[in-house]
Amino acid sequence: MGQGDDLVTAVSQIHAAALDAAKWPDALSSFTQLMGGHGASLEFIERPSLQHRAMYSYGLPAVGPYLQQYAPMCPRIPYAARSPAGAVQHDAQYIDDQAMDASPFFMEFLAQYDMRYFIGGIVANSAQELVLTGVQISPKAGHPSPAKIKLMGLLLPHFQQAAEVMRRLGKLANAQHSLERALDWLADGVIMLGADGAVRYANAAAQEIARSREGIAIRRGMIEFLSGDATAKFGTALNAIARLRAADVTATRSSDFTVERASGGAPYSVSLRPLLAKMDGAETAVVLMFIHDPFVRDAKALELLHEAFGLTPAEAEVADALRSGFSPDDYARKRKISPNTVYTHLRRIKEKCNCSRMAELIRKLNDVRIAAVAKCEY
Amino acid sequence: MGLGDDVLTAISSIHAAGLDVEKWPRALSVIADLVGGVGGTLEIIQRPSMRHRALYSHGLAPVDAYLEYYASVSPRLPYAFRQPAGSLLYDAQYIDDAGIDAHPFFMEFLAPHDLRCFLGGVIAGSSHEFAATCIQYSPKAGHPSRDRIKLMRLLLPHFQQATDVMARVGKLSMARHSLKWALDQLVDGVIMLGADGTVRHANAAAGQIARAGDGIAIRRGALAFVSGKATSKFDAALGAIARLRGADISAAASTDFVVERTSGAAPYTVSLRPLVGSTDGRETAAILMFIHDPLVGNDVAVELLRQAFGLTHAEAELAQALRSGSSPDDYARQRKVSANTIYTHLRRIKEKTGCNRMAELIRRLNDIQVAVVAKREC
Repeated sequence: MGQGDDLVTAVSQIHAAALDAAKWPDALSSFTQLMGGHGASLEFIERPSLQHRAMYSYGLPAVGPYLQQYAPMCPRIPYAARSPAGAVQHDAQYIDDQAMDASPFFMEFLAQYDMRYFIGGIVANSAQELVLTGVQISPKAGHPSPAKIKLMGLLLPHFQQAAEVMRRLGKLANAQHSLERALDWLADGVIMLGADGAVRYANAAAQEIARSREGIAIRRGMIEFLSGDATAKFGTALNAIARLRAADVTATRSSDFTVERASGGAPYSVSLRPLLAKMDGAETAVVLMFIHDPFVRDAKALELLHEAFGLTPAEAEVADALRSGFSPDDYARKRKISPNTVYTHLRRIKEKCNCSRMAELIRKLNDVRIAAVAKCEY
Repeated sequence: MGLGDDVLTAISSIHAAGLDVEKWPRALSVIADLVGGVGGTLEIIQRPSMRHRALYSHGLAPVDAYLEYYASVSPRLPYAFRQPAGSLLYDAQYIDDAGIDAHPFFMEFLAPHDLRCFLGGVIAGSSHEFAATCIQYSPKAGHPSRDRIKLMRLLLPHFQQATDVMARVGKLSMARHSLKWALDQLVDGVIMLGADGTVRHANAAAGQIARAGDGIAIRRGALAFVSGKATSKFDAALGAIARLRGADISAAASTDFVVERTSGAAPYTVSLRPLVGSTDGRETAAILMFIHDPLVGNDVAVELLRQAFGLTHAEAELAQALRSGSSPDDYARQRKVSANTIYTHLRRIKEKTGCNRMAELIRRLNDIQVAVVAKREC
């Protein structure tokens, strides 16, 4: 079982590397030993640009120069791009030794590292991506033998499975990342809790609220409220959700309450939503917590009032104050300007919005609202 | 190399099943053949409930009887539960033939199906989950030989890798599901677009807006606006994203504009924000689009107003109408109730919120809100 053992070991290492990319050099090392070469690589090449997205290697001395200078002139890549996934590749398929001696890729690049031939295969080949693996072989070792070509045929399906695992996990991780970034743009805080109440995710707005410690905090992965009333309501809601488990999924109930601030300012509004999901047999409960902070106002709201109604910056400020509940006189006092100026602005605003009555104007101004924050660091 | 070939095929079949659970019966069939058994199972058991979360099998008729009754009397499970992950399992470890002949699990359950000994391994063992694979033998085959035990030792790490892939895919899928559901709770529409402008995901609110076809539509996976101005704003943001890949695109791609409706009703407010991420070395540029529809009411708001100020339902409904711009007389007319009743409600609202003046009241009411819908089917 001598070679069989080595082969099974190499295959195990390939599958292990699919779950931990740091293990690719180990897997490629075993691959190199099996094939009797100098070193090996696994290359992810974007299509149609044929540019490298990622490359894992073992034992290859000049990966930098290869990626920067020689990959574009490597005749193996265009040949590979025309071959289907699962095809075993070696130089004799598309080039003879005479042509190799005339190719700068072989003579200027490979020759200086005592490399010439290769044996490898197409791991994946789609409209978006070409994935290749191969072992570099010295001139002395010559073209790969039929036994080596057969061995490559045995290994290649495992590279394919490993690449598929990487692709699948990468795609899901990407989707999760995009959705989390989308929630980061919301003005309201969003926190996702496990059934045990542990915080699994908090968007940018929720993290900001927690950092301000004005009434809601996250300590050791758990939500804490300053007010005993909010703590009690939160506890009751979580208990109700825990009891929901295994019961009728459509019976999901939400719970909404306000949370007082330490500063005595306008309270946060909180809404809790349970989600029960069955994922391959296991039931998982998740609780979503939405938090509205009335102090978060958007600078871009003024720009939008200009955009929507053609208001000047001064008019937009008056309009924004009116819709948030200020009277024209309040606003004049706060801004230390004459009420006459404010009433002139108000007349222009009414003209531009085509509203004669105040209530109608407020409604119209309130209709124009930005759902996302202006700037978000992530 | 004959032995290696068979083992490689078995290993491939295990990893294929890790990516597609429907392939477990096939994998178990290949492995049963390899180690000379008649059938096999992969069992995943939840702890501490000891309930089977999943059971995949090949060649074993009495799976139901096993799950319903015999799993609880099987002497194999209590023994297996005590072994760490990666341990091999076979009957000779904990029972002798005389013991087997006296045990109802073997005599009442296995014997009628022409089964007796087994060979398996512990795939995972934690405080909340246990997973094992078992290959069943006919009485004629006797106990598994040393060579067969050695083969199982070779295969077991692959079972572990494959179930690890299943667990990771399951966890990521669950996270994606929960995040999508979070977006579905929002009152505002959220659409995720690729750099090429194709719609990758639309939340429930955005789906409703697009279906309404009142100025914004999704046609063949792309967004379509009725208004030419909206179209050019959108195209400009898309152009900025494409031109400035990787650079600071935040400012260039952030824009807010109003979109007129075909029906002439209050316009949508659309906000575009960049979404730049890279998770697996591949940079994915995309755009987030938020849509605010002023015609969509916020039912949660009424409940929050009741909670925050102790309003009755009728008072909360009036408060909600006031802050969205209705006058008390408007509201009385619309609801066909006497103006006196409405003014009585208003007086109570002012008392309960501690506001004397209307503008102050509106501001106070506006502080209390959450941008989530009251109920949405998941």
